[in-house]
Amino acid sequence: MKIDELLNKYFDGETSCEEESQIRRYFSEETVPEHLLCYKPMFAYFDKEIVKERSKRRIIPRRKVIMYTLSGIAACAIIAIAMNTFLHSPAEPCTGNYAIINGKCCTDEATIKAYAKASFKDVATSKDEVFSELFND
Amino acid sequence: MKTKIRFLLLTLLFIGAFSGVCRAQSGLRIASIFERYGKQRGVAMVELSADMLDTYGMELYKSISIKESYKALPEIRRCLEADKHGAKKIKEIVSGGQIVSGYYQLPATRKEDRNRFILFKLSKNGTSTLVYIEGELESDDLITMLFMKKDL
Repeated sequence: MKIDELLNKYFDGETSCEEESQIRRYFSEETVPEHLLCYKPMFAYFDKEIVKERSKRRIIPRRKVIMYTLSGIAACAIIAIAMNTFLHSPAEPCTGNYAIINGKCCTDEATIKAYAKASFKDVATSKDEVFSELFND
Repeated sequence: MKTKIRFLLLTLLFIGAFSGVCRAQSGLRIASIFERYGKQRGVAMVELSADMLDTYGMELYKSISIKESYKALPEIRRCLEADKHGAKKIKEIVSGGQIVSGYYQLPATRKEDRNRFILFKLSKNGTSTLVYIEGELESDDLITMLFMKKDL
């Protein structure tokens, strides 16, 4: 295909990548007809920009990729641990003397004492209970 | 760099595995029961520290009552079996080969020389109650309190 036809196709936006590189190759040569000389700087600029763009795309080393992956896993693990701690802890801070009843924190002294007494009574065993366990068949 | 990454990952795994357990009674398996079931529905967990327990010679009182504890019961029993190894005193009521009531006096802690007790009872209505006590309280005093069904 002649260069003029190719150029027309180019300006109509119908050229393929291969044809475009063919045009750029043509204009990079020294022997360009006079009537096409005005396009030479334009294609020279395109060539320059392509080279620049390619050099910008650096290849990330394998070690860095692994490190980034592991960092991501570590970050996820930290978030998971933090969320686990947050979701399993009651809304109010439960420290010192407290009771957690049905998942709700209570710091009222009378309530705490009542629950503590109840649980202590629950684990207590009377002699009757021991005998009942011994002879209950 | 590789060593650093390995160290970081191992640290994270360690934190993840033990963060929950470290909060309750250190070194005891029953700590996991408090941690796992303490905030669930149908459960009442209590913690009292020395300022409320001074008159009883106790420094820490932790209890957990789990209603309809059939799911938790095998785990509780496994924990008791593990924790009672090395106990100074063991008193148990066993029914059908299973512990229904237990009293365990554990060796004192090395640092503070406190007596440690674990109490457990499964009531007839299916509620499991587990109590952990730490303090200067003597075994006989506690047994008296329990058999007399005295109040705290």
